[in-house]
Amino acid sequence: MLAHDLLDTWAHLPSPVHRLDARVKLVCATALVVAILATPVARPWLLAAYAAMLLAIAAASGLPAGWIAKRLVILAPFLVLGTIALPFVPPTETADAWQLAGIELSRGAALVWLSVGGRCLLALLAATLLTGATTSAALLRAVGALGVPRTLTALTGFAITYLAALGDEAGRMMTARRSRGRVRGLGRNLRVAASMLATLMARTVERAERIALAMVARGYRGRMPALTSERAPAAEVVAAVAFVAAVAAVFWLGVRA
Amino acid sequence: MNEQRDAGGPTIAEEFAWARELSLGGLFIALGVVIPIAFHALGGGRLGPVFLPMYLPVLVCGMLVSPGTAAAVGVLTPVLSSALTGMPPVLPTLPLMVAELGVMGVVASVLHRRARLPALLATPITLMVGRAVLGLCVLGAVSLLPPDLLASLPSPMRRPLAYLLAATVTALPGLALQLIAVPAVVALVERRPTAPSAMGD
Repeated sequence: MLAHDLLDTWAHLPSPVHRLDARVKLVCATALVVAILATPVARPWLLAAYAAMLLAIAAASGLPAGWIAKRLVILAPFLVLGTIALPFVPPTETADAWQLAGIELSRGAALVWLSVGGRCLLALLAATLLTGATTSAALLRAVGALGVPRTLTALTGFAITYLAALGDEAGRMMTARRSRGRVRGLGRNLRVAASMLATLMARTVERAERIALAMVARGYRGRMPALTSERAPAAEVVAAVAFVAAVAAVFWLGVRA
Repeated sequence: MNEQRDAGGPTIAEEFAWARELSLGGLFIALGVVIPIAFHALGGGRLGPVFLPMYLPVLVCGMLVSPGTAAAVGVLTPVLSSALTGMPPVLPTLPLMVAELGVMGVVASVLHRRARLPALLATPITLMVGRAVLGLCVLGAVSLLPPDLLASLPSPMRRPLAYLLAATVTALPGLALQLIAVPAVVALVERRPTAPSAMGD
């Protein structure tokens, strides 16, 4: 039903991007996304600079281009709709008119659209590279280390860990139902579906209790005891500061130009 | 089980209760992603707004955990489902569901766990509060959005009352399902002893 490595399919590659500390990657990605989203409409070349940075990171990460493209496809309906709507925005004055393959477009509207579409695409690319090159567990630890409430990260962690297990359980129950033979009538079908849902939930509660007992037995006291160092390597912190400074410098130079 | 680990620290029972709450919350978020996938596998995307399959785990979980965790479960379930499966769509449904399910989680928890209201009574009240929150959110969105953006919304969403009415009528089978299933599942779960007491501690 759901792949067990749904989120971490490519998170274990031996690339320099993968080896970076998750907190360092998270800070760099956040800085880049903020800069991308703050880019003024009148400075489209800034987006080209950020796109070059992201492409360089994508190449260094070794993540498959097809996998990245599949993640970016979710933006396609939004981009296609916006592009289709563009010819319907009339130019405000003659100087604003822009001829493209015989179609008269509003230059201002086209620039706004390019900027909005480009920003969305690049922000999604940054998020895709971050999640593709980092395991979900490391990313959640990083998010927690940067101040997000522990309850939220713990709940998300549990959900991601057990998503596939519960999906498998639901799949097994549906297979068993099919194996028992066909049930006729809407009422009977609904009764079977309701009893399956109730059983699935009761089993989930039992599983949650087993997990809680295992957690306490393994030393859970508000958080699991850490077995590895919590500090990011100094060289990586320096690299992160340099990256954020580079992003800020590109933004500042682009806006001033 | 009530033995204290160190002076002033939480007891093992308290640690277990907190761990149980977290694991229950996390697993029910996962159920909130899995159950809608099963519904969609059975009847395509049309069954989602009719049977409200994501509401079921959020409501049941709300009655089993504290209000804070229930709110987190209500908020995280649609967000995670949208990120992993694309359902519900980010705009305009996701923000509405986040607000509705977040509030419903808190209300279910407060009514059942704090006010000790039976699940049979707490469920309809929670569902009504949820629908009210949905209406208020659409009203807020309509009054706050700039006219250009408002024009891009589907036409029923521009009239909050009509949207709320249409959404409620469409979801009548789902609301009936929640009214029957939530109290039944909560009763089933609460009748069982929790793990430590089952172990005889």
